[in-house]
Amino acid sequence: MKQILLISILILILLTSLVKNSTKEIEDKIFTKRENTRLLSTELGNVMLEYNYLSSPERLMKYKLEYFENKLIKKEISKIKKITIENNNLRITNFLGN
Amino acid sequence: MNNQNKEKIVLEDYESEFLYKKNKTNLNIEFNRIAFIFFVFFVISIIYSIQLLHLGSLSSNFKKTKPHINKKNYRADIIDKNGNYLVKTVSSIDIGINPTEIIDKKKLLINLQLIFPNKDYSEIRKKINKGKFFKFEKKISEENYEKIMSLGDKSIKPKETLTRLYPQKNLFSHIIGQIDDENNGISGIEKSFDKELKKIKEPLRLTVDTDIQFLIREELIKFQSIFKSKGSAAILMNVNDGEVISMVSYPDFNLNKRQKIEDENYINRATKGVYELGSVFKTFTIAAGLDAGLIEPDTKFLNLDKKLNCGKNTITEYDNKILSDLTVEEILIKSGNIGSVKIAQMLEIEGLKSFLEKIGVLYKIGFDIEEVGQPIPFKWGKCKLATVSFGHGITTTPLQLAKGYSIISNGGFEINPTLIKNKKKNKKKRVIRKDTSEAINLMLRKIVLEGTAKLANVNGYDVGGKTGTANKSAKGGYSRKKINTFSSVFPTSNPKFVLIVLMEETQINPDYIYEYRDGSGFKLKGSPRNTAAWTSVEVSGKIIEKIGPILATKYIEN
Repeated sequence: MKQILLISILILILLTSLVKNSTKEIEDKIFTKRENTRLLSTELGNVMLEYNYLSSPERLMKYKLEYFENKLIKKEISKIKKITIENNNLRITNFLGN
Repeated sequence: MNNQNKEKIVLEDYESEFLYKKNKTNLNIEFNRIAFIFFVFFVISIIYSIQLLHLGSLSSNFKKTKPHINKKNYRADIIDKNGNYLVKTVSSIDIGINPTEIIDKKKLLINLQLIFPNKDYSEIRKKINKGKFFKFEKKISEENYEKIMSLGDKSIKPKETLTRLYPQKNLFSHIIGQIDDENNGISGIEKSFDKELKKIKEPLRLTVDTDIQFLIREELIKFQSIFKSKGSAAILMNVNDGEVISMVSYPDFNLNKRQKIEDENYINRATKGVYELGSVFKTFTIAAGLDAGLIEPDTKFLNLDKKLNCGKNTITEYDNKILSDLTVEEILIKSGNIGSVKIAQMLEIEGLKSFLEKIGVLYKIGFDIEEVGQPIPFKWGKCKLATVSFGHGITTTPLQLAKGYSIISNGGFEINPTLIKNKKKNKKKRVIRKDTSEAINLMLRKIVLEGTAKLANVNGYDVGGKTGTANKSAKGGYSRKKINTFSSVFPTSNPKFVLIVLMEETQINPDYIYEYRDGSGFKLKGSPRNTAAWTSVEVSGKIIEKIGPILATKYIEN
């Protein structure tokens, strides 16, 4: 009985050590991934900042005046239509009617 | 044997008592060998377990190596409701010089002059001679950083600092506010969310929309020059949840320049400015009367006086053409002062006061920025009741006006204006009857269709609203300077947004051309009067025309 108890304790210890080892490996992998994500998100943040600056409403209005002075026209809300797909059929309705 | 018998020798037979017994000590060598091996294993396993426990008790490397947030050099970014950056933190390098560590002063100055030719070197020489550490250059470029560090002078001390970039420049200056050199917020969201911004890892998301903010600001700037006003403000708010979609106060300032703003004209008019707003308060008086069940929209007031005396003051109608017999609805549409006074008298002080308290226009309200104005306290009396009924002798902020109009138009539910997206909201609490709200919405729509706000009748948006023209208070009375306000709600069939436009000290423009929105194509040159109907209403109309499609497609549909 004592021997069974002793052996089971030893097996448990062995299993614990194995689990602990694999957990550490996973933690290392997560850490590496997180670090990579952090670097990528920093890069994304900088790209987004640049994008936000370049596509800011102020700049877009400038571009509009420069390149599309007469091409972009105001659309009356009452003339905007809404397209919905129902049973593979297109349904066009007035936007304001909904 | 004792000492006396020392010499006596006695010989006795020796009998050995030794007897070999195999199991005398019960020693089982075979068993003990196994036990010993087990014992060794046991000790090893105990040592191993202790080691495991020790390792287990250590906090894992994984947690330890998480990116460390240095409070002094960290501040979360701020984004708008669509995820566009309003503020972004980037780290930059400042260069300082410690004169005590300079090896060759002349050589250092020549080298510095080559890298930074535009600096005043006589001043720098003076600073070096003083022998105290000083900041040589703030936020240097990477190129210059490499050049200056390649000099290899020990006296050059680089220091990483935090820089806040504002890609939208002036657009949100009053909302975002500024920080000082020590990374502490000193105004706006930067101040009121200082602790959170130093702690949170994700950007702080606001409720504002950059595109809409831009369009509203553009219109305010344009009309500020047309009506030569001193300043203006606009608030666009969702009436159902209090989310502020846009809040502009003009003039504003470029946050990237980090100016010290001391000029009072740069205050946040939308939240900090406390004004007498005039007839926009009549909506509240009538709503209070309806909510108390004292009047109905078609209740008739007959033989209304043309003027009322109250103490030393005389209350008259703004327009002499206003009839003496008016229904409640007509009082609001035609903006009758005397009719409003009569309704307030029916309500009595407690009735009107408690209603104004309920909709949050009477006392200072809490908001997400600290720059919030406090309505000027006053003593209620018979005359005060009369003047308050048409918005005179009572002050409030445009933000509170937006709150009041939101509650009145959203079915009577209490809301609290907010700039923070996903903020915990309180359970919806009705403070005004639903039928009161519905009746008011119909009246507001009629004001735009038939009353003083026809210029805001933008096709397709079902705009409703009330104008308010007030003279600015001055020492001992009122000046001729105007505060023109228009509070609009749209679409009145199912209100979603409230738009407040306030213009301070406007002037009439004889050259401006008004295009009537009644489908007649009629155009009018020059402002006939310096009132809200010819200033703020026109601005509101232009704003709704521009932002309407965005609101309709982006906000209402979803």
